[in-house]
Amino acid sequence: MSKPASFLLAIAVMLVLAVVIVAVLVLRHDGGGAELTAAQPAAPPPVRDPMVAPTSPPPGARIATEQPRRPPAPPVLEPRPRAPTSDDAGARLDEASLLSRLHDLAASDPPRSLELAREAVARFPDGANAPEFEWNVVKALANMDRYGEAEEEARSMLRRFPGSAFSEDVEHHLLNHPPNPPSAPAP
Amino acid sequence: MPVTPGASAQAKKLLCYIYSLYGNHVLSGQQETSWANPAGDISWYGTNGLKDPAILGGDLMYRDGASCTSVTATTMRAIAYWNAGGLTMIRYHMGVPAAGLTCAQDCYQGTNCAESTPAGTTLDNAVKAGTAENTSLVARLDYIAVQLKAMQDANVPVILALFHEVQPNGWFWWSKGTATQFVALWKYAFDYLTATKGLTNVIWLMPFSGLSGVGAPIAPYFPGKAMVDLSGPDYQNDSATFNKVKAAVGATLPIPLHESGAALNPSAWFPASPFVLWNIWAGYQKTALATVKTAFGDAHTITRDMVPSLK
Repeated sequence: MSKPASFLLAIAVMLVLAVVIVAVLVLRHDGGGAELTAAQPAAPPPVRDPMVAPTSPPPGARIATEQPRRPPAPPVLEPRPRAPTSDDAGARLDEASLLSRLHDLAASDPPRSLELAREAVARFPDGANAPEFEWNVVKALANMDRYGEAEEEARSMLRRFPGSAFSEDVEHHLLNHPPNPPSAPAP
Repeated sequence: MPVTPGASAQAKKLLCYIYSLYGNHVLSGQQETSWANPAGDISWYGTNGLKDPAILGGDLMYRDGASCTSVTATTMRAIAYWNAGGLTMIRYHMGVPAAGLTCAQDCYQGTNCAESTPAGTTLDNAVKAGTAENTSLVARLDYIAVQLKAMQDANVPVILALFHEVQPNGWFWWSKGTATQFVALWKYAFDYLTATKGLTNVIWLMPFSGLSGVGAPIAPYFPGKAMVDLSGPDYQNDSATFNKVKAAVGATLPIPLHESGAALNPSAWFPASPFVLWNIWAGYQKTALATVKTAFGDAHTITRDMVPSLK
């Protein structure tokens, strides 16, 4: 190869590299919750029970659903797997671990308990702990003072698990409880 | 001896009597429908050819128009039941202790009611002098003290099931925090009613939920034998539940079924799970005559006419 040709080729390579670097910098600056890096293998999809209605997007889902604010990145750029969070870990728990997690949460974080309990009900509808998962749905709603929804869930639970101690418990506390005294302030 | 310092003679006799029954007999009980015709709960037994239950259960949430400083109809019925040869057990659906609230705002469901979820600092502040929550809690305890004092003045010992249905993630505000917070609350109430108010007629029943197996271990919620005379679950009257509570409170305390349905079969409880009393929830007996008859016909069952004089 002649010197001028080598020189031109080197310039062309440098230009391509510069374009790639600029594109990477622009995308990093754009952020949007999706960090991108070059030539990383795509994250495998999380293993999920096919019966489960997903309660939260799987890792990386935002990249696929967000409208890009910049032109598409060069094809060599692939999404990097997001670092797992405690929530992701919860979404993959087995039945016993989900129950244990709900026990640990108790009344401390009703929205999280509701999310976990609903997931458990969907994934293990006929499991040994199904009534207790349903109880946790009802209880989380009640703990958020969402009594109307809690009562609706309680009625559904009574139909699904008649005779269960958990069903009797929600019936006693939500559907057949003592009335407020006449002197009580209006709710 | 009762855990109440300087316990009254009647309280001592009552606890001795309960200990004498533990393991071989069970006291029958009936919670009154405080909000509608409470007398009808006991008269139902006579109407249906049954003897009256040994225990009448009351709820201090209902004041029947009385102020927070006057004696309620619930208390008067409790005294009358004792005078008729029975025993009394009291619980209280206390509202959330919050700024400006007293027994006048007590309610079951709604804002700052028994079932409400308290604000994050409520349980800690309730036992901290000088806070609005503490003022509110003390107002409720003062109200309880008025009722208990009226019974004490009439020489009536009372089984007090304060802060009932305790479990991790319980239904009522007092068990929506941590075990440490609950024990602090119990200790505060115990000290206030005994040391500060000088009440001597109380048998302290620490009432777990029958679903006590839910959540974290229940033993941390037990305030200890220095502040508890009896401790047991509600509703679940199987041996597994009995043993769960027994493991948490120890082998010596009598275990009551402090609130129950009407499907009771005492013979099945002895000797493995000898609950020392039951207390059918308000009105539940009226739809279960057959099972109530079975329970009242059981050789283990103590009815009001069988209770010796404890005066």
